Amino acid sequence: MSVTSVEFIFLLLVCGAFFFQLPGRRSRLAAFSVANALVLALLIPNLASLAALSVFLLSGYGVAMLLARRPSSLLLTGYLAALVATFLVLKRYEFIGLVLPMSLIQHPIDIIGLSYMLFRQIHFLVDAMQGQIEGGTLPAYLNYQLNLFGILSGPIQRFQDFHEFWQTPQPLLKDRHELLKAILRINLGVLKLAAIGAMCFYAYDVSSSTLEQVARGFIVEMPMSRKLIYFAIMFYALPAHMYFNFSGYCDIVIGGALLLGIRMPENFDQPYLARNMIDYWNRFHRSLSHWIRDYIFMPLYKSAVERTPTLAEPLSILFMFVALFLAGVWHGSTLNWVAFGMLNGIGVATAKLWELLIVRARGRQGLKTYMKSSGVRLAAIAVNLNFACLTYLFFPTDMARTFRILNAMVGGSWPS
Amino acid sequence: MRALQLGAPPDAFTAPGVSSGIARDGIYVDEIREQAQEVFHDVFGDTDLVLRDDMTADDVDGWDSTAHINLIVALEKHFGVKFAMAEISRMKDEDQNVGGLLQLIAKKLGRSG
Repeated sequence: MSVTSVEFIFLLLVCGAFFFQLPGRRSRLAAFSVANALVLALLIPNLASLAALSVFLLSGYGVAMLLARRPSSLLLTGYLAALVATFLVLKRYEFIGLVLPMSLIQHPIDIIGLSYMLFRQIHFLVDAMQGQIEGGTLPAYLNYQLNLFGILSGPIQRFQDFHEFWQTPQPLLKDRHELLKAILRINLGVLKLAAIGAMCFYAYDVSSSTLEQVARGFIVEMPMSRKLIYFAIMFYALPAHMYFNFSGYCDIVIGGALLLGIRMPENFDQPYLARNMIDYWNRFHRSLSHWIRDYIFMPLYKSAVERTPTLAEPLSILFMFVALFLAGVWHGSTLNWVAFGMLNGIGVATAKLWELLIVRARGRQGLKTYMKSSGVRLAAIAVNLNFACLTYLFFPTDMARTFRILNAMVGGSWPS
Repeated sequence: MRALQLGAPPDAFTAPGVSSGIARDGIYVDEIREQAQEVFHDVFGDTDLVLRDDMTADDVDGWDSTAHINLIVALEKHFGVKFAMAEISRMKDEDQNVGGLLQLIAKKLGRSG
């Protein structure tokens, strides 16, 4: 089911219109649970998937409750290792075939949104062990995980924020003006996703297909100037598509959630105006990058500061690489995501290294002056925009196609 | 200096250098603020920094993710408290400020005292 489908928009508007007409907390939560169950029923393809999802979620909840009562790093680490291994099998990661029988990943299970559930589950487990989860009942947890406004592709909400709604499902929108803004946001999201994003994808598809025909020799002669134009369209159209598509989706679900009194986290803040890759990941898919910051980078770096303070600064560069590399790999099970993760890891690590070098050469005041320079800012935005677009060359899963196109651009012929 | 409005203070503190058994609301937060300010000076290398309750990470030069952890570890050491990961990440939220951080330290000291 697509978020721009008639069914989904209809469900949003119906829920928004009637939700707060229901009397009392219980009836509202019951209606919300039914809506979540309906969306889940549309997304689950078979009973095996439902059974796997049940085990995935219920085991997480059970272990979280155990950890809340009796914190144990050993139990948490062991369960997380099993959880991630299960996730890799369920998502059919290609590299599993290198070490384990391929039959392991030949299963009928297909759970949409599992990647996001994994993030929410890890957050819930860690926070439960550290005494940061209040009101974590099973219905609250299941509805948090299966929340129709985050099940497909996030945003990744914290349980504590969801629980505010679960505790008191009251309207967030103060007046008709705010209500109108929320509905307009849904409309804008549909426009961004279904029209602008789709047009950008069309431009990408046409330009990349044309270049592939050049690479395969179906188009024998094409002037370099025309090839460059096609390449430029391909290079910028895919990142534009990604932005309009994903931010449009987020506009729809964030606006829809507001109608029901749920505040989902914002996911975008003008990402292509970022001045480096650290800044970029603070603006693009923010709920993902904040999760990575909170549950990968910060624990690693904190441990380094506590144990080896003199090495913590150089280690921070390595940890940034690791965090963003893992984020890249998380996106999908094919090898292109390794390249995507490597490039993003290199991008953030370079940005951190550059900052440390400036501080070392010119001091904190020098860094401040550097950051305030509008000339530097413009140059940094231009460089970063192009680097971010470069990473998207590895977004399509067919890496051989990407290399064929790149090879054609430098005039080479792809070996048959 | 404006004092934070807190509930009843804990009976005693165990943090080094923080006096115990203070009766008036807010005064012990002023002490925490003074000591936290010294920690901020060390971490950010800026002795001119004056902590305000409404101050956010955006108001302090260099308060990025690494500096945030440096600050947290320094505060944990100084006050003898431990922050949960959810608390550490929440402090980086746009709606959080130094006042909230001081309140959290006061709350933790109250629990431990």
